[in-house]
Amino acid sequence: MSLFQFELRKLLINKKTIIMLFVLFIFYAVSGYLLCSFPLGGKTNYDAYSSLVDKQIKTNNPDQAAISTAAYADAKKKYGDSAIDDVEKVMPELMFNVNYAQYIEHLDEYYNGSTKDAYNNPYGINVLKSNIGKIEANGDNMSFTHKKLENQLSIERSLGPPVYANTALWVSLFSTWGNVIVVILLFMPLSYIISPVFSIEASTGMDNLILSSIYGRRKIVTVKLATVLITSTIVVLNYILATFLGNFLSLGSFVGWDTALRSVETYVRAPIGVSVWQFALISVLWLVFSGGFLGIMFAFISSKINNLIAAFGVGISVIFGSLLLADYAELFPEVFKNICKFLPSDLIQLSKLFSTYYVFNIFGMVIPYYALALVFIVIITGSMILAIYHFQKKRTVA
Amino acid sequence: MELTIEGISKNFKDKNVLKEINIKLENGVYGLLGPNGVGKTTLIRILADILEPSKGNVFIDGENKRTCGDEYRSKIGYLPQEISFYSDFTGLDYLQYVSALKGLSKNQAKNKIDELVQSVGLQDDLKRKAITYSGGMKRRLGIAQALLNEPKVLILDEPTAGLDPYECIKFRNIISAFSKDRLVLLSTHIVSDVDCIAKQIMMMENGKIDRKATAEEYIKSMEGCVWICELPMDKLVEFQKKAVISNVIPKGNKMEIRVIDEKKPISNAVPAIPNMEDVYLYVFNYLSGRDA
Repeated sequence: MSLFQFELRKLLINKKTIIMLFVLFIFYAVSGYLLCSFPLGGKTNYDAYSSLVDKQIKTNNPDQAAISTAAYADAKKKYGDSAIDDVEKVMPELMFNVNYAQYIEHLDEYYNGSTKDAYNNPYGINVLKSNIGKIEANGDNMSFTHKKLENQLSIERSLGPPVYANTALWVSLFSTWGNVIVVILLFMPLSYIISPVFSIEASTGMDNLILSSIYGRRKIVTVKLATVLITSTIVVLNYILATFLGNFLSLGSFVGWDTALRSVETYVRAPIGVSVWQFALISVLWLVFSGGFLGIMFAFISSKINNLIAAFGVGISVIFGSLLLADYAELFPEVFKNICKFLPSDLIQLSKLFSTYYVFNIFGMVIPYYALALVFIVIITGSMILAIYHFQKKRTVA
Repeated sequence: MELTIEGISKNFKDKNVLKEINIKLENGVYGLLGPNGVGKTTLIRILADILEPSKGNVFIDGENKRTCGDEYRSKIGYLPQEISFYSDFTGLDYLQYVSALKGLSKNQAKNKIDELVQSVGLQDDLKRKAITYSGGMKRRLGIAQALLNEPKVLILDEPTAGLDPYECIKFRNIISAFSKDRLVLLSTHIVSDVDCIAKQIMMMENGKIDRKATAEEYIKSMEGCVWICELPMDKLVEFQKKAVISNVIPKGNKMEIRVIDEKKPISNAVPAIPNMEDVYLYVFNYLSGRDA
């Protein structure tokens, strides 16, 4: 066996990891099934809901809007905001009315924004136009804010208003792939699998032989990093396939795959003009990419910590620490809030990157958050790789 | 092959573990002898390129280790004091893994492993998990891995720890045969590991190597310093406190003792022929005790 095959065996192709991946596959599939079917109240209710949606698909029907809005208002009064989710599970018609009424709200927001929108992050064609007008009246046409609002307005115009469609499978799937759940279900096990990559050598004492061998300083790092990337890809694909299977089995339909991303509740304000299947592809690529990024980060931690449990603990702490910090980011000043957007937990969540228009001022240029996140990850990953090579070159056994 | 150690010092925080070591080694077996904790392993680790000296340089055939990098490590074989294994690796996996680390091709590795397992007597145990091996088998596996790349310089740290007497003899024979046209540096605190096979023995004390000579030269220098005498049993304990004793044999109601001393220790003492164990005691117990 070559060095690469040995390292792959140590990290991935061994009984312990294969059993773990198999167990995780089952767990992910069951979780996907439950997370998809539970909010919809099971297949029968979903089918009834689907037939109602099909009648209104991709339309803005004023009569239906009035009926649904009234029904939604009644339900809120009757059950309270928080209980609606529980009630609609057993009442497909109510579920449809709630969804349609929410769609109508989103449609209105597309033009007029929402009172919930932050002052410095306006939304809605008319709001944007009005803000641009005010800036121009003040003679600040060359300001970054003007440039940003113009850019946002042009994106909103080109993407058009949200459409109504049955995207239940994709709502659930994108939530599993792009929300905080992915951090817990996917990246925690990834940390467990990757953490030993370097620290195992010190903890077993094999570093004596590795460091004194011809390939023990550079080639071993190249090989280990390649195995980390392969392992993280396999772990991510295991998650994607299992959750996809679980979600699909619960509904038995791909319906909604070819509609615009903006028909999915979380991404109703998405700044990219892609369809649902295209976004599914982006999600897969982003998860594989961010899996590689986190894999390298765990390897970086492992290269500095000799104890296996400590390496895993630090990896997990970085992830959960950043989750916690990001959760409280709203309380911090604007600059710190922006820095928090580059915490690992935010960078790997698709919903943080693609659910709304968010840009940064880089030397006066309007750079979308997702593009900057991509560049940031590439730079950080590259720096960590160089640091790992450096650590291994300088590593000693005292 | 020439290995030059030039002004090597190593500090761990405030502790000066190695102090300005200067030695030049050529082909043959060299013993590095000294009690535990004098800095032998630190020096060995520096030579194995897994520890950086605080000061000084190591040259291999005139080339500085720092600038040689990978090439330096391709020329050495290293057996660490403690041999470690991955829990799921068999003996064969272990040797194949080390072969891969040493850059051997699959064919080269197979041939070399076949040859080495025969000479260390592990051919029937290669498919067993290495962690289940006995201490001696682990040591033999360690020796085999150190020889995989046919190193020009073989560095062995306490190689016979855990070996039974037969295995020790077998090990010495392997090393002796291997040392032809090569340099072997063997660090130990066991005199018998080096006294018959070492071309030269270096005595290390307090991070310094002050003595470097052949076993014969050491023994010759000890003439008149080893004595055999008899003592009544009840006086032995008191005598032990002030003398360096290398051996005690009960003889009837008296004890025959072997004493290291530059002067005649008691009136009935007769001179004895020194051996390397006496030399060890003389250097590390008698002289250091006197200096202290």
